[in-house]
Amino acid sequence: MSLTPAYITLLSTQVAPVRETAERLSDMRDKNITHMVEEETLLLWITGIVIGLFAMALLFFLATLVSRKIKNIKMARVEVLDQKYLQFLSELISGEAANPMHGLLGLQSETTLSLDKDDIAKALPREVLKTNLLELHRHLAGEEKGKLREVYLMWGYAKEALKDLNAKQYERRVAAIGELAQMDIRDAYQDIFELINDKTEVVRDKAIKARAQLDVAPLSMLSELEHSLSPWQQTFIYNALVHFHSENLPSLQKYLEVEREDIVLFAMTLAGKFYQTDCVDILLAKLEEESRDIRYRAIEVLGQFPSPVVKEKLQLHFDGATEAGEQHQVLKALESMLNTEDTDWLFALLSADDRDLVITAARFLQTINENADLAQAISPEKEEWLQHALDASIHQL
Amino acid sequence: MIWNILNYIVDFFELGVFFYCNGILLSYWIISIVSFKEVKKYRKDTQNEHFDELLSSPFLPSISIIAPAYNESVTIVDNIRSLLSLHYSKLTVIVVNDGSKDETLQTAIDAYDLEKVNWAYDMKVKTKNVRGIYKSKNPSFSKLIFVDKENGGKADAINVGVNVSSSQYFACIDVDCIIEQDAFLKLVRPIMRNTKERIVAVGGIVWLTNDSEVKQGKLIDLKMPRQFIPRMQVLEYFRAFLLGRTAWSKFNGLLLISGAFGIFDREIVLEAGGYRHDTVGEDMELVMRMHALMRERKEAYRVAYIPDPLCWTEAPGDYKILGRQRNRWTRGTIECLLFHKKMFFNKKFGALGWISYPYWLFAEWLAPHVEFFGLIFFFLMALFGFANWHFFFYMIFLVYAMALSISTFAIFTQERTYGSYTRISDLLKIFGTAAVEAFTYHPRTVKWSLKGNWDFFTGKNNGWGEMTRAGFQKKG
Repeated sequence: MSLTPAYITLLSTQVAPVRETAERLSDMRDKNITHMVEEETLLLWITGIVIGLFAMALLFFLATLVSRKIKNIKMARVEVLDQKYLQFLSELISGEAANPMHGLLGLQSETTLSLDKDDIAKALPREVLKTNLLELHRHLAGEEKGKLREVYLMWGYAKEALKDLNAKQYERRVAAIGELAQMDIRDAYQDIFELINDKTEVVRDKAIKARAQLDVAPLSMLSELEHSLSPWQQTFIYNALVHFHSENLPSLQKYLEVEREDIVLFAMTLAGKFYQTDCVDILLAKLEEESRDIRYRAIEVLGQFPSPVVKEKLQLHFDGATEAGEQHQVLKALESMLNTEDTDWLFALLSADDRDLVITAARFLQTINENADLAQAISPEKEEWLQHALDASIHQL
Repeated sequence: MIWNILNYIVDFFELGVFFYCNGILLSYWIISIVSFKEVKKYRKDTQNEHFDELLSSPFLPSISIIAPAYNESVTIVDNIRSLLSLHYSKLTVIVVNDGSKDETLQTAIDAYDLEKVNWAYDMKVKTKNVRGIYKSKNPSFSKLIFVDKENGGKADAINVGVNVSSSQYFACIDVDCIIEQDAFLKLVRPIMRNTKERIVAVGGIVWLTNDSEVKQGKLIDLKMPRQFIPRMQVLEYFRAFLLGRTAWSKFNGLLLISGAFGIFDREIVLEAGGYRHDTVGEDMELVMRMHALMRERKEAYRVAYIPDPLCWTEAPGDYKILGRQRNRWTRGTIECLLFHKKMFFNKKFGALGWISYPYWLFAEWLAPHVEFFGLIFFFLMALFGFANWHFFFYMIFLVYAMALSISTFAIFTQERTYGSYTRISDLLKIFGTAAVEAFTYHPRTVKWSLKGNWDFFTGKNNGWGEMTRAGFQKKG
């Protein structure tokens, strides 16, 4: 619906009063903005702003087109160089001109085992060569990885990266940490290890990840950290521990008893993941902690250490817990420890009011005693919960 | 007396509008510059990240994708497959069939070997009746939960999904969107990195794919839409998603996370009462309510935003459908502003009360009114020969130059950050669109907005209106 006809009608029927009003308004507007300052001055200002804005728009227009043109040329050049360097590197590490790796990398099988001076000296080819080198190194193992590392050292990339560790631009520091850690450059260890407390968060992330990978005592940094340890950083440490240190991981007891809650929570998870049975006593003591997060994490982790002692303590904790959520957490942790002796205890739980608690108890009862008559023990209004529990183990609800 | 009132009106239209316009345009520039810096920083921060390393992390928060479906029988199978293939280790896909009248349910049952299970539906948030919950007999689809319910609208369908979910976060998405494979790994970045604040919601950039090449639910080649209307919306999305929301998130004043793509803290959403049914702006309303709740709780929190194009969708292709969408957006905005009017200049709400809410009120809601009534006033003056044409044209040039500079800056920002459009011809097209926007498209947006206001205040139109899209599958 267009509004225009309505206004035309309005104007045609009320021309006289509108005209009168408009004349009066016109007198008034003489007192307003265009006369508050000299009109010419105002128009001059507006002209200046308009010209400035149009100039900016033109500048953005040209800058965008030039940027795209340069990027497209660069992309085309990078594509050619990628092909060339991948071929070169694959030949170099395999030691033969036509090798099966070409097929894997989707390359043509012509030999190109030579590089020009420009490939090493000019910025773009040098950068592309490094990117390919690092990418290939990331996906290979064994002797080939070692050969690529030698190439990396030989062409002076390590020296540049070591310099970049002190660069002003944090993104250069981040990139340098990443590649030095990947290439395991020992000269960089000390500098990288100190960057775990850098003022820039992404630098800290990368340094923590690198240190977890390179340090022979990867957990030692936990007592040096000045900033809180985020789950993001915890992931990097965990991954490094799994890949590089799972065989010789020291006891986590020390870290379970520090004051910082973030470190304690992290150490608790690690204790469970790496099955450190010497931590069980401390974990049991954590059930009495004031912090809800620590208590919940302790319950969850203790579920991974099935034993009569843990079971007894968890059941005691269940009785003492005031929140249904905490009780449910305990019940879930007890899953692998329950047996037919617990039938009565689980039957008693069926009379609870909490939906999750009843469903979990019924599910466990069904698992440990297929013949248990659950329908008799549950009130009719909870029949739906019971059916859910019975289907839960079949369908992973 | 009457002349005093008229005097005020004249003052308003001359002085007020002059400063109002300049204030709005200045605020656009401030927001744009802050966003540009933030997007550049985000790009720098993430360029060396290997998000795939997160897949094995025990610290990853669990996420349920909630995808409401209504009469989607043609696309439901492909859409579910696409969601199940996303890279995220702690993912559940909950498809909620919102009382479809077609074969959506049966198609899904057949394709995914679904069977009805006994599920004790816990109605934490009140919803319409759930007719059945289905799980697949095939273990390969164990992550899928299919819910069949009575029709109750999108908000009700999402609330059902929230009730069924047991994850820490839920993602609300439009089922016909294309989601980047690693979208959720990127989306949880602020959640996993921020140790000082609770991240209650995270949004991401939604961009448009009209005329682009899409194969098997994946974007292959991004092209600028050939038609003017979708192309115009590409420009709008650049301005809104790239330049607008990034800055608001920086100030923790983001009031809107797109209903098409975002993740929310389930516990907080449940505490806030879930999605409201009585608004067409339910996505914005929920975010505002979550803000209010967290302020009440006096807990450090943030509504975060990832300036990364993680979700792709189709824009309406004709003015009729687009008009309905904008009409709905306007009504949704008014509803949200009225529901949460206590935020207005309320120091309890901090930046939200002092910056975000007033911005939405003055720049988003009021602007079309000022523009329309300003022009009416001017034409009245002109009709009787009292217009200062000289000044008028200067002002027209000023406003046009401001709008053009902001639009070109948005295109420039896109190019300097993501550079998603690689063809020069595509960029020329979008610049051309920016140049003519003020004369061809903008007047229509003002009209749709005014119509939305009219419909809201007269109660003539309270629904969603029909939205039709060409659909990716048809083209793929």
